[in-house]
Amino acid sequence: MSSFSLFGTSLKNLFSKPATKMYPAKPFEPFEATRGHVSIDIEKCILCGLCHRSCPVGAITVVREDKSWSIDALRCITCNDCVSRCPVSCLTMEVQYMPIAIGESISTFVKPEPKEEPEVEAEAGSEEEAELEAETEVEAEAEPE
Amino acid sequence: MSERTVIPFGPQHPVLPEPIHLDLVMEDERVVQAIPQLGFIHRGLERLVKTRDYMHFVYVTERICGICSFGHSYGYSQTIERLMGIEVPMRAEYLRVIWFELSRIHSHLLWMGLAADSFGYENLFYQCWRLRERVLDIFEKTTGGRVILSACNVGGVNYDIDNSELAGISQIIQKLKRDAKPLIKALVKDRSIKDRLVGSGYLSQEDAVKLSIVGPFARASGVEEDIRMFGVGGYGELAEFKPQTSTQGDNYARVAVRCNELLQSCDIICEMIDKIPDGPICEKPKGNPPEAQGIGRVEQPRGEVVYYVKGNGTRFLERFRIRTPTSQNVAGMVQLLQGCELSEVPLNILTIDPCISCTER
Amino acid sequence: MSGTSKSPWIIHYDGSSCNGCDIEVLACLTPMYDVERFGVINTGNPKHADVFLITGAVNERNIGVVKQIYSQMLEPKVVVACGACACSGGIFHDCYNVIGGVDKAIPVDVYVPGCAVRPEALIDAVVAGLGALEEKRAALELASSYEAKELAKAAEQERLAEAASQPLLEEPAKTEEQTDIDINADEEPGE
Repeated sequence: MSSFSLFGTSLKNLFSKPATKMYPAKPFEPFEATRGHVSIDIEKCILCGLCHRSCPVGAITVVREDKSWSIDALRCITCNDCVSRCPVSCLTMEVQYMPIAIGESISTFVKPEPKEEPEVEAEAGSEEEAELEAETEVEAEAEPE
Repeated sequence: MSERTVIPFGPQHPVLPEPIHLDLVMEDERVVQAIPQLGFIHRGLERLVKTRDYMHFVYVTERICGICSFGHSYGYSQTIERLMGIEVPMRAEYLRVIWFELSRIHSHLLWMGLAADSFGYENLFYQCWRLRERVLDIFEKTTGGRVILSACNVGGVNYDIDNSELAGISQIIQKLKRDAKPLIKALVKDRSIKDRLVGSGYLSQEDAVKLSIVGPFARASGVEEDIRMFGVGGYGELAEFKPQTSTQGDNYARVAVRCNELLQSCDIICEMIDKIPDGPICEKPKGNPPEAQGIGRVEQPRGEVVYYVKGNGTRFLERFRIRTPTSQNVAGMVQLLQGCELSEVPLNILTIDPCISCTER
Repeated sequence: MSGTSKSPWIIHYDGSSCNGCDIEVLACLTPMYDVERFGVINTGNPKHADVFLITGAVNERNIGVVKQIYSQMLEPKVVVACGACACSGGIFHDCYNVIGGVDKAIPVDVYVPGCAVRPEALIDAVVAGLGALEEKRAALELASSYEAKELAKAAEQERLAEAASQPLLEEPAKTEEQTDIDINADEEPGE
């Protein structure tokens, strides 16, 4: 019957699984390449400011004096420009979409002070050595230094 | 002479996806004159060439219109490449054609749904948009975005699709073509829809040429013009390309032309996937645009778009101008509305596939 | 939870956007995301709607339209700004014709970032907006409840009593001169 042309489609839809993604009941399923939000590994960042200068919307702010990197989620257009330009690859595009906000939504990351690693290791080593010496060789303390 | 009243239509109306204001001068139920007022979407983005350099301006051109998004970045990149004399790798050209034709399929399915909704066929609206989600899934899998792709760039494309994924896409498109055929049949062969569409909104071939109408709107009135037949870029590699036309010139012909273009795009994509060569996907541009002018043309789903750029030796362009199809077609729309009844106004507006955000930039 | 929050009706308007976020708002109504299973209907009439979904960085011509739709909606109402352009102006924030985000025209309750905004984020935003809707409804009911009305009536009576107890200001002695208008006088105003 030509006036009921969607008959075949309707019958198929009636007996097959619904197409709906049932979002809040089932979790969000992104693809691998989905562009959701930008995240940073702040310890690798060298604060060069390339992402700050190249962002087409001005969402990223890098302040060298404070060693901070911040991004305004309400402005970011997920164009992937900062991620592709970063010289040390500390920026990644994550798949989870940006959360909703009630007011402003600026995330700031501050680069931590670098730890004095060689000294820490030497102290730890000397502590262990001192313990070993104390446990095994008591006579060593009597030796003149 | 009966009394004339003026009914304001828009900018906010349930059937209109975009704000446009029309003052309909009515005599009883007939529209005597339609006076359009545009300007609700003008953002002045052509001036952003002064503050964003020519590489970053691609992100602005993508956001001129969300439906024709890839097409604008494609046309802009092509124009800058012509200006600077950059040779794009062949694989990039093929990938651009694949994404562009996918963009055309999604745009036509979107339009079919909105047109069906405007004359009351809500079920077809939902079915068309459900089918369209398959194309958006392909976009998201390959580029990361559903609507704004950020895939095209000056010198090539940003993302590659490996050959096994391309074979999967070919399967999906062939299945989409099979599933779209019942929907097209429902729109084109149904007796009550034919009663509504045939004979209404007629535009003759002489009027179409006189008013410089472009796109499927003109092709449905017998004007055989399509930029893709000139074989620029990846389109030169197609075995043959014939634009879809009709001589009837009414609403039914426009619907039929777009449905045929949808099926033709499926065939083009499968042909391109079979023939795609291997190679690099991007050739990074060196230096700045010279002091010269460049012109590019592409065939968007709504018609022919012309891009003009003018460089001045720095990394910021001097001038950028687009001529979009709806800015030509508004004149045709106003002509269609003369003499129609008030209840036909939404259908006549949607049948030209208006994209006001492209027009007003 | 009142009936309105179980079935909020939305009105959508494109405030100078590129259409990307608008087609994602319409895609929420289609079978893949289907907000109609929550009772949401897309209406065209502002007086029927509870939630106002607005996209786009508003331009100078559109401010009047946006404010008019907002004022026509009945209380309680919630405004959701969808997309990077509506939240902050996005990539167009420095264009000459753009005011830079919807919150410069009307008060906004929920901001949804993204370019274009994802339908899942829109569903999250409508659900969060429903919480705000409930709070506003509770505040309205409190304002219109019996106790509040009694308090308002008592305050009004107090004010009237205070005004009545103050001595009347001396009326200017105008009656004698004003009523004795000499119609036969030859004086004209100009002279």
